[in-house]
Amino acid sequence: MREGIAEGVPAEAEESVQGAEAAASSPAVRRHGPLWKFCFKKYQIQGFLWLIPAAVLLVMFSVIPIVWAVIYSFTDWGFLSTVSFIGFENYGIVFGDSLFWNSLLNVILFTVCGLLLGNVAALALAEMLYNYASEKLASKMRFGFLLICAVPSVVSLLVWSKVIFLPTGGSATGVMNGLLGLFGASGTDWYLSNDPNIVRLAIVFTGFPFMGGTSFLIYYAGLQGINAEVIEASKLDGLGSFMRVFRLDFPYLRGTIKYFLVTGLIGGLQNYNIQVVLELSNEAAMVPGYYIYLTGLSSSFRNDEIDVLGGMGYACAMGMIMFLITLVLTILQNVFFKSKEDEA
Amino acid sequence: MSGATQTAALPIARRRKKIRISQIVLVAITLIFLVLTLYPFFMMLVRSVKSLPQEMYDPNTLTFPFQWENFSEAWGLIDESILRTFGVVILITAGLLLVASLTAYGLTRYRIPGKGAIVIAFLAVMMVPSSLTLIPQYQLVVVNYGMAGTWQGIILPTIAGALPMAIFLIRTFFMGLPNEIYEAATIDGCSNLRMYFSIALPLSLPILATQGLLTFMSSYNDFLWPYLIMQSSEQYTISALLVRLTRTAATTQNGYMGVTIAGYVLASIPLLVLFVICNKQFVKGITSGSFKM
Repeated sequence: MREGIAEGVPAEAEESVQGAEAAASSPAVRRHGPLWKFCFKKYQIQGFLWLIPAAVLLVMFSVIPIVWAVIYSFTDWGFLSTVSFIGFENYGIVFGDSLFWNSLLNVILFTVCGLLLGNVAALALAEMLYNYASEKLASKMRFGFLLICAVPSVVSLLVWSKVIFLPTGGSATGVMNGLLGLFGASGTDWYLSNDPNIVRLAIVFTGFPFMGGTSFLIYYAGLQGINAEVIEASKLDGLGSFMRVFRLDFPYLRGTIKYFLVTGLIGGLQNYNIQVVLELSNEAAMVPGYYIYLTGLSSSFRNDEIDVLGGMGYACAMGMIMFLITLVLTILQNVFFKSKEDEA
Repeated sequence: MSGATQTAALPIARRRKKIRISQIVLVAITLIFLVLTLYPFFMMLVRSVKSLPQEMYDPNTLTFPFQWENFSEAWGLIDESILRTFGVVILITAGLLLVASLTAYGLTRYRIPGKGAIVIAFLAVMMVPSSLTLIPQYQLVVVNYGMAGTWQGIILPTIAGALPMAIFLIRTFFMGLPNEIYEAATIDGCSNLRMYFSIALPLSLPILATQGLLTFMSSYNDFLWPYLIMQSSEQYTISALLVRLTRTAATTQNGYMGVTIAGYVLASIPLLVLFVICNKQFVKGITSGSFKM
């Protein structure tokens, strides 16, 4: 089903990859003479030359930071002039750090809400466009919804905070507070509110109605991939278009939906875009990514409730825990996908 | 469900009419959502042309006359930064495409020992969350490599971050190219470097354009890394500068947002133009399935 949605391209390519690699690594060449000569015959060592630029860049900017993060998570790297190993002490502090666990709960809330709202909206939009009688009109609408992609993401967040969810007390009134005023209700401070639930509400609803973006495009393309004969048959069987959405379209898109949910979950847990752009460091808005960022990089940020020996070492330890969580999720997802595909 | 069979029995004229009404409802609902989606950005345009008293007394409605001076003032604040951003973003895009395609070529055209392990290593690097590596990466680039405040301090780590995914995509595309072309070229005495430039690259223009477009957009949007690496707002790329201008508007503009919001509008124009030109390429790239892995 997933292959069908992707128009068969990745699946076929993937198979040919494995085929080619299996052929290359099979011991078709019999060994004669010294090992190095054999290596040159069976393999083309000069191929490594092509990989040098990427290898240098990745080692310098990706691999060394990973290694450092692992090592320094066991040290008091940060406020002190010397760095010394302190074993698992950082990890012990993380387990007693209520801000970290609260921020983890926050990010789970934001991610789950975002995934549900975002996918329902994207699916609904894809269905609506798919049911258009005029293809021309549908493509015009699609263009309108895609326009949002062209707005820089920072601009979009700033607009939400400086135009829509503007707090009370400033010289100007924001759109939401103006709307509340029309109904006679008093405005609130949204992102900066003292009420944690209002802060969370504002964060979850940033980007409403969640339809701009690219995920609806992929759902839409998936729907267009449904065989016309299947739809014809469903019509003959008396399936109305409303029922078709649930009986035919959603089952057909199941693979894509699952894919979006899984990648969205893993990506969402690491996300701290809105926090870092709008500097939302109160406990109601805090997420692990931003907590790590502040602990490791901000000189003005100190969480007084915990006794940390070194800011950067502690940040690395929290990063390691987030890494382990995403790793477990990825493994679970692989197991889950594999078993499901075997059933089908 | 029986509705469909009933309509099938109806005279054709009535059936058409029924379809049209449901179509009108459908279009109307989509339009409402489209308006809701675009509304914040419409408000951005409205706010960008407000004067200080208009912003204070009529913040949420269209007010006349427009204060166009906001745009010229905002342009004075961001013009250098936009040019700098273009430089950085073009270098990132070109560098990424070059390095990723070189690697993809090496991985598809050569029998390299441990090829499977190399591919898995690329994937593994991609899996590591950026929140884990951000702090050591910052220390490394700023302290050990001394790249604070330099272009390469932004460009090289950004390329490295986007590499694994790009290699993966381009490699998949390269593997789809028929082997016979290369064989024919080899018989004609074509070197591997020449084959890369005159066979592999021209034939994979679609995937290179898609990857390039997405890289261009995402690095134009990137805020955090330039914000950390560059040390003053004279050096910021546009996204970082907009955040800085917003944070300092309370003191530099006495809380007046008109100029800053005009800056948002100006900063959105380049991507908007690019998007309108490349709309088809963009849609094709997203939906081709190559971005779903």
